[in-house]
Amino acid sequence: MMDDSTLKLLQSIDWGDVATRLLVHVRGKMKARGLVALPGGETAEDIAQIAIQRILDGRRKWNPDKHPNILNHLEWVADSLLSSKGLLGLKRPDIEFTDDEGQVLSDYPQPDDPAANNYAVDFATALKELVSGDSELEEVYTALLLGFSKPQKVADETGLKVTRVYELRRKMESRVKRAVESISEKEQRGTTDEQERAGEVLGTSD
Amino acid sequence: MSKNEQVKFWGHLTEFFCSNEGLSKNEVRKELEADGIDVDDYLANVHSMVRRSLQAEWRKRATLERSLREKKSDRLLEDVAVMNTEQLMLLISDARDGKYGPTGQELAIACRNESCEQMQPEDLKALAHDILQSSDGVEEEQE
Repeated sequence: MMDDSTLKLLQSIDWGDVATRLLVHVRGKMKARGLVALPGGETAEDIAQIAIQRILDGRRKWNPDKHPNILNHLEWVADSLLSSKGLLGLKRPDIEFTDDEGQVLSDYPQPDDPAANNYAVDFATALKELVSGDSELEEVYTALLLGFSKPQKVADETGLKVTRVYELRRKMESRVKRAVESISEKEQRGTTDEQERAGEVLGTSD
Repeated sequence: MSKNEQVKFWGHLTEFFCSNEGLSKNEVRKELEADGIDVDDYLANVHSMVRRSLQAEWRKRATLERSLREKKSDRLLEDVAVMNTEQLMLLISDARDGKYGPTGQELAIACRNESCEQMQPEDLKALAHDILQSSDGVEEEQE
């Protein structure tokens, strides 16, 4: 049973605010991978609601003393759920980037994972091509490359208004989706080429 | 750009997409609506889930408290059963002085009007039980 003080805190939370911010977080994680739904069909709304339910039913206990910001804790729970659904570092569901409690250790490819690193390079290159020609998107791209990730910091770095940065974020999302698709197509073509070459070697090709 | 920068780029992009820093509650909502999300529907589900879960927690508490009260009542019945008339009268007199809290005091004062000396032992015991049950830790505080 939950302790009284935690229960009262949960009752006092503005769930309208917390739940919508959590949804932005989950959608952001999926959008960065060019996804609108997970391979199992779950949407960001599903994941966000499951994360909230986990805290309410105690499966992911919230300790307000250790983590006073419930939104941060919910984001951690949501990340853990996403990783358990195969949405890990980069296209490598077989790599465990989680600790024993399912917490995602890193969104970055691991230094000793050449496949994930190569994908990251391909992705950055593909996206760069897709934003070229749009000066504002190029500026945002460069700011991200330099390590600025918060919209306000991107705004400060580029000289754009933060409201404009948020608008450009939406534009960037469609470019990301196309970048992911183009890499996927290249990989499939590469696999087809490999299969054909293998067929020639074995004498099974037409 | 260096390979290292490219590798980290994707992490920065993810943080960029996840951020709602500096946005008001209304602006966050508008961002989601602009993306085609039915925010009212989503929040209705969330509020319903929260309400059900918190109600379940309060019900658990009420059940536990009822169970504890019933156990306490059984214990008090046992304690009162072995008291003699003198002990019962002393308890009622202490209750009149406020030793067992305001509710106990009222119960005891009501008894005076009836004249406790003429009450049957069973009734005295029932009154003593009610006084003790209403005290709920008051006596411990006073000590």
